[in-house]
Amino acid sequence: MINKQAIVYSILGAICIFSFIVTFSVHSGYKIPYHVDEWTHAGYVVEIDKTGHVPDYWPFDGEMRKTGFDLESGFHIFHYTLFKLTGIDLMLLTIFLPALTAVITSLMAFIFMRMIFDEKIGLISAFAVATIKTNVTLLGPMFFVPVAFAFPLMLLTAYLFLSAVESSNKKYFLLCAVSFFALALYHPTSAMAMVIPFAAYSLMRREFILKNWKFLVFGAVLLFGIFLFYTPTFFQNPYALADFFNRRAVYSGFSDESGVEIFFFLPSFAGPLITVLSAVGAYICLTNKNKRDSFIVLMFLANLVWILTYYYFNFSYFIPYRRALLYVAEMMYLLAAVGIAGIISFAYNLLKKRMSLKLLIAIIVICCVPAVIYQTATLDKFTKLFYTEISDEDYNNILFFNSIDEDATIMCLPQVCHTIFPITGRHVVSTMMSIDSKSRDSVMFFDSNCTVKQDILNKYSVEYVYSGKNMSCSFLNPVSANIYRII
Amino acid sequence: MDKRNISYIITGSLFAAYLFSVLLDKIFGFSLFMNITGIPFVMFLPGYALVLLLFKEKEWLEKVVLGICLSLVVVPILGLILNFTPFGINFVSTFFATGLFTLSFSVFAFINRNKSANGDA
Repeated sequence: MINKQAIVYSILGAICIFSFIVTFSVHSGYKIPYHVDEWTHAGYVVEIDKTGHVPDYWPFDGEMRKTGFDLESGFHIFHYTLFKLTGIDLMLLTIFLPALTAVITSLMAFIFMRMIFDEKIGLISAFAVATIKTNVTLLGPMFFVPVAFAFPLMLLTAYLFLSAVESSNKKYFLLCAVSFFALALYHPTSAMAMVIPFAAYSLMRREFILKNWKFLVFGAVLLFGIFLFYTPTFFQNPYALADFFNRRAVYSGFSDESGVEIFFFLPSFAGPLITVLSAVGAYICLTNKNKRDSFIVLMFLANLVWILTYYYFNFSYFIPYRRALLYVAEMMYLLAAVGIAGIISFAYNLLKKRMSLKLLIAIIVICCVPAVIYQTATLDKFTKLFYTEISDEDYNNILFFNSIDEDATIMCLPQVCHTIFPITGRHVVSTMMSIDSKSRDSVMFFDSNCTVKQDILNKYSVEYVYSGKNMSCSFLNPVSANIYRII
Repeated sequence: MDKRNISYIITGSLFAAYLFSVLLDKIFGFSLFMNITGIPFVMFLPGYALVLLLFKEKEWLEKVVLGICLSLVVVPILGLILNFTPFGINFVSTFFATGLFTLSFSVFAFINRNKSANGDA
């Protein structure tokens, strides 16, 4: 007779493989990062490798423009450690890690939901989170970005927090605090998203507060400590402070100039199937007597607040709108798993007296298979919206810069330049996130005559030019495909 | 063989395999083995050593998943500490920090387990 646990582990293994394939398949025809943010994070890893420290400046252009302490230092340190201790090529790591993160997320979703509910819901959750949608605007599990990496850690922190509340055990409190700190290092916004649900759940469990007030004081001190840790970044220079209040704390809108499909309405993003199932799941959680079941609903509601304020008042404090949308969608997927399990159980109870078990299974399979196909098909629609910073040919051409002097500066269009530092470690004149005048000069360089070109090259002490088209000026000597050396 | 020792044997084997692969890489320039063994060395062993010490009562799958996730917690914190020391963040410092963390917590866990086993006896 087959062991029940063996079946569960086999299904979980299959889900992990599915999860890996879904995420990695995005890169089947393109072996380098897609999004500018992925290149930015890879650039930080390169800079840590060069200097041995987390940079508190913009590393790409060699200008050392101060940006304050790196708010996503945990993400960069972890990837540097993995890059260095495995010796895997950084470009390969950036496309391979999201798939590995997706598997870890599925596994953590299984453990977390099994703890709250049961093994069946755990398995459905593991599958559901493997189909979380993402695109270039709502950067999610398919990208090499901190918000995607933070999701398994959010589940881990929640797991440790709920275990601490249930058992009042010191080791859970301690690990929960450490894990929360690490989450804040990876992605402060994700840590921020956990504060309100934790506080609300603690208030729901008043006996827990009375019994463990010392730990809660410790938690509050830790939270204050994390705040102090980041405070210098906000006050280091006026630009960082203004940036925090303008872009990080108050996120008031984004444009769709890139032509990318943007979802302003939650059901449009999560899809009608997940929306309906999550509503059923939320109903089941709230009507259960076990207070622990309501934690996911709390996580859902706490982030929904920022979405609603954005919809109706065009602002969202502390958690940017797009992040809140992603967190709420993630919780919807977990609630949908509860909903699916609830519907199956309801159907089973309703029909078991009238139909044979085989017929019931057949009906469930007939209902579920189209749902899964629909979910996967819409996932594919999202991934078709990805755009690329550079072509494969550009990537191969750029590798030439590995052979030039390490201190050389390269002129190129900002979009292409953004990838040169992560690939070769060589500085460029401007990037997608450079100050306006440098970007303007870079664009102007490619549209101007030879005299203006030379003035711009002299201004930035440029030694090489990477161009997408042929250039014929006396001071530009072609040395490789699309690459010119300044004479 | 005592079944309770399997976790320690796996930890020790993965650790030793990584050390061997680093030697292969540094002496002979053969990096493929380090590419493979490096992933559990960074993404599994530090957290698993912590789990062995703190959660010995949990079932194996939960231990493995918590081990992976806690490694994601431990590694950046070790790196952040190194960032503020004169050693900085480089191959040698991260190698020793991660290795020593894993080794010390595994040894503590092993001693702790033996102590409680003797206590039970």
